[in-house]
Amino acid sequence: MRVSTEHLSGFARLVCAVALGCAGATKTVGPYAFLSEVYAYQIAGPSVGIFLAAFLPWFEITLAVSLLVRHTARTALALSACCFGAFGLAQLWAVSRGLEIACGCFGTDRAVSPLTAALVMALCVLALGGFAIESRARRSRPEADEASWAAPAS
Amino acid sequence: MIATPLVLLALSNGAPLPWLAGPPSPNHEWRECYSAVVETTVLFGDPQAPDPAAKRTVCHNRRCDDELRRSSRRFLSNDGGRTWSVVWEGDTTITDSQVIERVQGREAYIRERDEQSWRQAVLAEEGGAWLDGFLWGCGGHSVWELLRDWGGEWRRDGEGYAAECDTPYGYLAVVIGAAPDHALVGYDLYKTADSLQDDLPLKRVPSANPSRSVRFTVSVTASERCEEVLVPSRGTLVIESTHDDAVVKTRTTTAHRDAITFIDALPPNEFRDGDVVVLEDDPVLRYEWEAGALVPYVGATALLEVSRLRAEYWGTDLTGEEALASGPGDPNNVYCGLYCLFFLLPEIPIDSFRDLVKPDVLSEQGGSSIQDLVDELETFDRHVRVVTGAPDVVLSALQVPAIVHVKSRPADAEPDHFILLLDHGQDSARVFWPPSIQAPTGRLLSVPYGELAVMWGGTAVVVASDGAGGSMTEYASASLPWLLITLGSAAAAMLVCRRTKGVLGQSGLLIGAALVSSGAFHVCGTMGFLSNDTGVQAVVKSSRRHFIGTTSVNELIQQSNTLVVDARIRTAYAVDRIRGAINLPKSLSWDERSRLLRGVSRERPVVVYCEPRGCPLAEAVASALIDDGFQTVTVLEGDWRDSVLYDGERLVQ
Repeated sequence: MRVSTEHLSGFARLVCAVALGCAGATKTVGPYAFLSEVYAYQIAGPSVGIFLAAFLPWFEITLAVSLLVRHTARTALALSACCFGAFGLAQLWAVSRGLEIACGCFGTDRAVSPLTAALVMALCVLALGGFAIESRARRSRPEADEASWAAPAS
Repeated sequence: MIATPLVLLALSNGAPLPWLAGPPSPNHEWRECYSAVVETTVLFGDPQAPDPAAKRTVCHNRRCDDELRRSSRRFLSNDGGRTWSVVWEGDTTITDSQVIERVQGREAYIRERDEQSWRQAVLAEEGGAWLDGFLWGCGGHSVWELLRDWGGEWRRDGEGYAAECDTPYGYLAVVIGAAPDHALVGYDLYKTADSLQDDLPLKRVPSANPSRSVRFTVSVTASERCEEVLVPSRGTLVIESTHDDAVVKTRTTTAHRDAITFIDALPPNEFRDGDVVVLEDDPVLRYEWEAGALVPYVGATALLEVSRLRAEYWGTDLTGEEALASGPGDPNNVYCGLYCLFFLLPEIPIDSFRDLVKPDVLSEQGGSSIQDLVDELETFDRHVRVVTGAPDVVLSALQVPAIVHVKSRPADAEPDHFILLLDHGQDSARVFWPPSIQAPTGRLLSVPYGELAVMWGGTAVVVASDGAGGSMTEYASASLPWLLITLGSAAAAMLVCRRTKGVLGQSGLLIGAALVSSGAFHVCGTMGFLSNDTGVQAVVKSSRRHFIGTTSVNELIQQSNTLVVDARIRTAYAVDRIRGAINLPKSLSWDERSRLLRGVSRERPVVVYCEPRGCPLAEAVASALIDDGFQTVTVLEGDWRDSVLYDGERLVQ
């Protein structure tokens, strides 16, 4: 049973890292398209929008790398949860205002609507929460720490 | 540059000219450089009649209709000074039905962009006025008003047109059909769309304008003879002049702007009486030469032919007056793919441009598709690779030449225009922008990558010199260095984090690592925000409609120069409105809106309002006004029907 929890925890961490990495990578190669998407949310003004569009993609990639590295996983976990929460709120804001815009989560793909994206963000936050709980439990069992980061046997 | 003797000119003062039908001679030609797009005005009635109403302009095209050409004589005249005219004169018989046919031929385009013009054209014909009359039981509105305000759109229906829409008074169905001497019109209101009947009661309306003979005169004048630019072949641009101040004189004409720019770059003393300047084989100026030689030809001469052929295929002529008045949309977008192909295929002779104008290359109503371009290029044994869904950074790594699919305006939703990427600079690309009616010579531009990225839809047709190259793998390498920098900085942050305790400290390090990566990209990268400021400005400009602010009622009262716009439908506007407000419903076309706002400075602040609560029309109209170029547009917040005094009077009228 304990092995199963570790599996889930590792899987959640991996999924979040991949999601953040892909999201960041697609935005970094399309900075102007992403800037347009940021403005479309009508949350940030011109200056703040430029900062967000310039910073967020690289931050996502950094977090993705951090989630995969043991030493800063907890910090990255907290920051990722904050990011996903903020993203989810932005999606809900767009939905509540009836904005017919693309999510902008992965560059300029128009397949993901803000509502879908909000649900995915909520799932990511839940996954990260599960990972946090498991991580906390692991901290209380130092002897299991090494095993928790080892690749689970199939 | 090489100076050679003067090429003899085919023109002489006052000498009559032969017909210029057919393609020009490939070796030596003179061309009209006044403007190949000429005014055609056909007046019904007596032009000398004292009553202005009798002089009704029915057909006012920007090109010479073939039927007029066939029955006319053309000659060049000179007033003894520097004014030259190309004059067409003749007699012909035009019936109303012929005029209507022309109107119908342009219907598809007019319906889309210039419904007002079509409405006026139909109103001018038999039966049209009937639709503008008072309609009983519909709040005093006419059929036209109901169709406009409630989203009725005209469609072809047999030999005529039909429109339907759901109105508060019922489901409205309207048909109109034109015949040589009468029209059939009819309308009816039904409870619902399901109860619509096929046998709409029709009314026969006699023609107000029976067939008649008209005498017409078409003339184009230029302030000078424009024989300076000859295009004997695609390989040499010959510029000749008979005066030392040829450059100055040439600048006064509107044609050959790129060539003029080119001439302007040359020392004036290079031009002497009897000189011919030949510019060739200069790798630096090669594109300049092509833009100067090819584009005027295509823009000024072949455009008519292309338009005529296109009209044959689709019955839609986009060179009419409506096209010129159609606003920001570029009607010549339909030919942009053709121009790019022509530019890319030097083996096609200049006078064979028309060979490209065929349904295979213009398979869609809106012009060429990507597949059309690919097929045609492969026909000429070019190695073609299509790039789709590519991100912005690929733009700076695209193999050139490449036909790039872009939006006509950054604010447009989807790409609808092809341009040709010719060369890469440090932080900008040299592109050829195909000619249009507004800019018949086309444009050769140096566009910053950022600005281009805003307009790019991620699709391009790369014309590779051989089978290799132009793959997405190559393009992915364009962003690889930056991703490596990110990973490196993240890894460095990880190492430091090992010695840092606490979530806050580690968070700071991670954020710092991201800032370093981001800063490196945006300062040093070709597509960076800081290194490509024009791109950022283009995005901000195109996104201005997302930053619509609000103005309170009290602020509005204190503003004196503000243009107040009522975004509601006309009936609501008629009941009550803010004093001095103009009515611009959302359903207005660009042309109607432009007509109503003609003369209004785009610098003037605008406040848009609709119903006080839960009305989205104001923001929609505000967005449209921003797209029209108004600099300061806000939406009124609060209940403007409150009893507020405005300059001693009630705010609400």
